[in-house]
Amino acid sequence: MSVAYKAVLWNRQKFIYDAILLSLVVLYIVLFINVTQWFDSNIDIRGVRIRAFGSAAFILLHVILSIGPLTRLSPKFYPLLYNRRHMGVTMFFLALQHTRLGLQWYHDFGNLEPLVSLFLSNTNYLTFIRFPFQVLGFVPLVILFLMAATSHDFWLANLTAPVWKGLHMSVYLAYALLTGHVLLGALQTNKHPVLTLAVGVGLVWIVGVHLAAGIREFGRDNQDLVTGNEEFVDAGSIAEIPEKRAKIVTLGGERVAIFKYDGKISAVSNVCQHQNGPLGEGKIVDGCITCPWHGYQYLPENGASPPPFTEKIPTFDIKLEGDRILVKTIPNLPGTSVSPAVIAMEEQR
Amino acid sequence: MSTNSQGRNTDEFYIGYGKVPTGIKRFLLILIPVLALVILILGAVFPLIHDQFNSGKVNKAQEFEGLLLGQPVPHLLVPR
Repeated sequence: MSVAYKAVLWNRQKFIYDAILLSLVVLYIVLFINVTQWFDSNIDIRGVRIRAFGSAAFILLHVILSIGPLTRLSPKFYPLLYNRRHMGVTMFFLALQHTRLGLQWYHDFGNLEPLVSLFLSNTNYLTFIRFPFQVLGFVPLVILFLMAATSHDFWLANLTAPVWKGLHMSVYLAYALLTGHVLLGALQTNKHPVLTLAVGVGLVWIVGVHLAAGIREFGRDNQDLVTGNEEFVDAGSIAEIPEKRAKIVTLGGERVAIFKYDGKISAVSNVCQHQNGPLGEGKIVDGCITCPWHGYQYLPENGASPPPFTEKIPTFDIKLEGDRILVKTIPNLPGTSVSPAVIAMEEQR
Repeated sequence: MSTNSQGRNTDEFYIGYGKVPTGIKRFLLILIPVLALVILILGAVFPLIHDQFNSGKVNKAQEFEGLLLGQPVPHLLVPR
């Protein structure tokens, strides 16, 4: 969290994250180029670089797309999510380098501008195998550029979270087009089936991990506590919520996080104002609900970020009957103060 | 160790600007070498399963026969 915008809010974890990320990328590219040259020392290094950067970008995209669903399946993966945008920007630059080298190699020797040549040199748009696969790579590059350019919180705040999120969800369109780009490219220029198979394995992994996470989330949302016009619903017992943690319930299709802390119970929207992170998977740190994604904080009593921050989330009225927690089904406006329900001494034992 | 209703450890909470909890650190110390190993394997295997640029070698004259076309860009159509 920050009041003023900074290019990067560096901390120790981000330095370590970026150092490991860049080391692995460099390791892959150096290895790819050297292994290729080891088998054929006469090969033109420029062509090898195209493949090295392109495949590095595509592998990194698989990692990036896996992180979200993996965190849904296990919170142990949250460290990968913390600085994912640096991974995305790194991936864009790898893809850009792949495109630059490809344009130089395949389109820089004709009488057309390389970019014009990219779109005109192959016009077999109505065929499958000979489809102009390079165009399928160029469109995702534009998407990745928009994502990299708007990855900073400045754009998140100014575009608003729904627009920003929608724009960044287009990474899935980019992935679909890139899969076509790689598959058709491999089919057109490569006779070895393992490369095509590897792309297929990657696709199955991405679809599989998203399905697994989706089924889990669907199961949670399907247990909606609101069945009629009741004002309050029973959201469970006090005992099932660990101290400084939350239980997530679904009320009328919206997720609500019910926190237990310091002998009190409060309920807020589960959706962080920053990037829609799951607040209910967060923890009370220094008296504030802390989002597990990027550490945005809110006071449990009013859903407002502590001053000077300005983010606000909806709160819910709450009351206790014995050890049962009753939550009002209609949320209060974001930032509305609600007195926490105080847990009786016998329930705290 | 405290767990929630889903059986998850609730003592440990990772947030990037804080200290990494022991359990998560232990997990990362396994995950990162595994990722590095996967990268090593992919970096070594992918070049081998690519067809090499047999016709793309420089400084080696080669002969081609085909149909020379002027549109959309000048190119020689070589039957494969």
